[in-house]
Amino acid sequence: MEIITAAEIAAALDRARFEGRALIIVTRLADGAANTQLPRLLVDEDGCIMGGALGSRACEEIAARYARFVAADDRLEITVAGVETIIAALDDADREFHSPDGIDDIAGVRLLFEVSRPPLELIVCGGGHVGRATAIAARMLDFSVTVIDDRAEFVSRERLPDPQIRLLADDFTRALQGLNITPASHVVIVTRGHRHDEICLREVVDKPARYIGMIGSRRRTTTIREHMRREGVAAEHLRRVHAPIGLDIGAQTPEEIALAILAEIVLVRRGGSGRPKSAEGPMARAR
Amino acid sequence: MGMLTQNEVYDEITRAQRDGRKLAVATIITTSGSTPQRTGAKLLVFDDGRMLGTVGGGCVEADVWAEAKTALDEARPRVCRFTLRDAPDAPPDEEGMICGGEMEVLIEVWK
Repeated sequence: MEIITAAEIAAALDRARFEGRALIIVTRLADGAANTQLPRLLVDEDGCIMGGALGSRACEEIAARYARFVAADDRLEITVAGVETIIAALDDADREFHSPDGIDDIAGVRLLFEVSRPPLELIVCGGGHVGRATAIAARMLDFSVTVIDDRAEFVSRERLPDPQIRLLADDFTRALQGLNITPASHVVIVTRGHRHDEICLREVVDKPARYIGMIGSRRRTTTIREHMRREGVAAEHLRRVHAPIGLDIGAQTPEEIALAILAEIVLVRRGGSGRPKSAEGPMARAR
Repeated sequence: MGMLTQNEVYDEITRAQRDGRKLAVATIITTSGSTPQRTGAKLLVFDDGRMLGTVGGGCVEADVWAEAKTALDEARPRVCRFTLRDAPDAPPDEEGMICGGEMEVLIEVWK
């Protein structure tokens, strides 16, 4: 069996990080001491095998399918599962799954799944009050943050002293074209006016970002949408844009608006409902 | 010290291999009961005894290090089970917690 090398794994990890995608390394565990390097399989977040081998076609097939479920659960970084457990889980969760031939040969085998996720990235267009508050608050949520503004004084270290926040004082279009926007990217468009908002949106609307949000009233954002539709931007791209931006929590101040924006981003990532948990809680029945 | 990322671990392995050196990678793969250790934590042990990363510190780190040295000498990977226990002379925990968890550690040798 061809054993994947550390250099090949390192290269695959670098590539996945650049593409903003998760990579799952599956290791076939040996009980006690073994004589050789352990077999490994590399699987992308869609369940496609990217390299390596586990010494059994059946083993590789169920490992790849299960890896997709492991990657989809944001809380999971590492998990160990036996072949029997994996097959039972796939039977429940994956309608297209049929237990492959050769399963008997791998009875009792345990597999280790380790997920490498790309770092979450937040790109803030506009260094005004809302952009600044959003950048600062996003650091608390472990985003790597970039703030863009064409007015250098709005992206200065005096305004944003956290050295972890990247500051780009440049034309919006040029700055956005220079960034690698991936499925790990979240773009918040909060410039000083709708003209610049539109310029930024045009630049990112067809990029694979996980989240794109744009500030503005319902009327303004509708106008921008109509502009872009007439220019030929696909409806499926426009539909993804969160505009007006943020969850409706009645936010008024820049800090509150930043909270509403980040709450929406968390909701998109984790799949919440956005409703107060208390609405269906035990206390609601006492009302 | 934070946990090593997979990128950092495989870069270290590649570098060691290029220099013609061996290293062992210990990974906490399961925990049960009360343990301060986190699954996924990795400790790299080089053939000169140097360490990188952490499996959470404490007496268990020394045990894992010793097992990794043995694995390096024998050039054989293994899955080991560790039981966490307080040192006999340790003062009783004020919170009344007993550190009696178990963990499984995968130790692999790269050369």
